Amino acid sequence: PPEAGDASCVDEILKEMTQVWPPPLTAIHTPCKTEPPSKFPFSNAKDAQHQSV
Amino acid sequence: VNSTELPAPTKPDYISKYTAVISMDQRQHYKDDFNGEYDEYRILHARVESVTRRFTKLDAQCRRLAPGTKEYQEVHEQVLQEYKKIKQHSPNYYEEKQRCEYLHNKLAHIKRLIADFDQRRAQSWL
Repeated sequence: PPEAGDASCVDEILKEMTQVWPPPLTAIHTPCKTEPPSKFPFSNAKDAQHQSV
Repeated sequence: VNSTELPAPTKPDYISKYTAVISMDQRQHYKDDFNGEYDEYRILHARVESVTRRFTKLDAQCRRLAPGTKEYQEVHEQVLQEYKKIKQHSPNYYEEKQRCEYLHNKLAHIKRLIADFDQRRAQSWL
């Protein structure tokens, strides 16, 4: 995640914080139709390298 | 035979843990697991959605304003302030977002398996 405090990072912040977020899954009912694919459109390979500030 | 292919990316744990449903007992077990994490998922989802919505509005404002103008600078400053607030009050926001994404994919996977089973059962009655 970008560091705050630098105006040039605003674009990076907005890019990070406005990532597409699918609608929430509904609970399982008996029996229901298959939920349409709602996987996140991007992979998240950063988590293994993420360092908290 | 030596393989020269790159190692395949690690599959998430739920892919091998939750496989095709073939019985009602298994269906119930999967449903119980789904319900066990659903509340946590919904809480995280609402939180991330709220933050995302806030920044999306700020992003839309930025796009409407001409760079270099006072208003443009003010909105930029707002973005920085909001981001600082998140860092201060929700230092684990990034991890929460990761967790929510993981739960979303996992619960969607379980739900799909159950739906597939229900569909096969319904078709077998025809």
